[in-house]
Amino acid sequence: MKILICDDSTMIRRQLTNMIFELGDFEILEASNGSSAIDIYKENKPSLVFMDIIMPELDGIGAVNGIIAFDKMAKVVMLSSVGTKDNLSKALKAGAVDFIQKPVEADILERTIGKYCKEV
Amino acid sequence: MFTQFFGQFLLNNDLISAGELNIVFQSIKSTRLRLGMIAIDKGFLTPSQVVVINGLQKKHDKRFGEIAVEFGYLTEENLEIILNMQQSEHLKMAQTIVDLGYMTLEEFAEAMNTYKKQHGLSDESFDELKNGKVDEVIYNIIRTEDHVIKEYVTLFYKNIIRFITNDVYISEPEKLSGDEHYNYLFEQKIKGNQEIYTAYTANEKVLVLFSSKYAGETLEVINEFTIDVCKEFLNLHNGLFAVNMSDKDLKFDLEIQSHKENFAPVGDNLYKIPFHTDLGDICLILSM
Repeated sequence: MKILICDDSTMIRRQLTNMIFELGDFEILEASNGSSAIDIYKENKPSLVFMDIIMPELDGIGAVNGIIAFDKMAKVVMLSSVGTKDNLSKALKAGAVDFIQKPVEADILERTIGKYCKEV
Repeated sequence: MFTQFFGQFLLNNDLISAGELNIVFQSIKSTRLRLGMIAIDKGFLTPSQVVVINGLQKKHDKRFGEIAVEFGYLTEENLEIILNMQQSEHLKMAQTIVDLGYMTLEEFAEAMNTYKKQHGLSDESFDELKNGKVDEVIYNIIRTEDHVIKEYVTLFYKNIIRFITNDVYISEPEKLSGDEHYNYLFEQKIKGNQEIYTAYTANEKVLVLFSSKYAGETLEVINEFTIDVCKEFLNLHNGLFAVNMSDKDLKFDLEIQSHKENFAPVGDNLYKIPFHTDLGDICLILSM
């Protein structure tokens, strides 16, 4: 099962990857900006996407729009430090299924993956 | 937190030397508070009653609390209160300083009163500080009427404690001259209800220690990853700030965080606020 992590921070991608490996046998795909996330999604159709908001080139909300335009059933969970009412509303409107506030806690990550990836 | 702020005050007012303060900080961790000290602080016992109880303890080979209740010096309720205060930071500091002979109990009490007056703290605010709530003290140090900036700096302080180290206190803001170059500076602009330039800097050694703490792994040099970690800390902090403001119906958006090398930030209203930590000094730079 594939999970795409899109975040411009190497540290966040590394930490999330380590946390997800603890939860099961997943294949992790990584993107450091929204445009790259759309390309990787189209090529790999991952079961779940964790998407940051503030990123260079194309931000997370733009990337959700791009992914949902390609696949209406895509499961994109926003994972950002900027969980403001405004961003929450924009993300859900764009088609994100959930929103996790950074710093991410292991049990919330586990619950979210369990909810959207049936094998866990 | 109280110990850092109050220790700095004692140092600034020549009530204790830097070397002595350092010894106090090191000794305080192993200090176990005596119940008599707490009972005096709470006004439940006088110093002479404590001496009497200590004498009775030797004769009866019982604990201080048991004797005090048995001989009617303390009620069960008051004993319960002082037992619950055994971790009190300010009392541990007082006892350590007095035991080391740097100040008398009276001098320490007088210094606390002066500190309260100098910082315009009510009894309630001072009690909050003693219990670890620093908001009022930080507001007094940064001396601005801007509530958004007050909350920003207080949250930065709390995030240093949450993610980096407990051992931190801050000094008053200083206006940036414009020709101060920093080897490494991490910056992010905040836009919305008001525009705020935010940045922080530290020397290389401190940044390596700082990023190691934040990333939860040992980093040894400044490289692409260390820089990424430092940028992400600012982004996380600013994100949490925007969320807090959003809860108050204030809208703030963040630009992408970046880093600069050998850079001098310029602006009429830029101030640096030093955060002194056990890792070294970290300087928050803000438009205010």
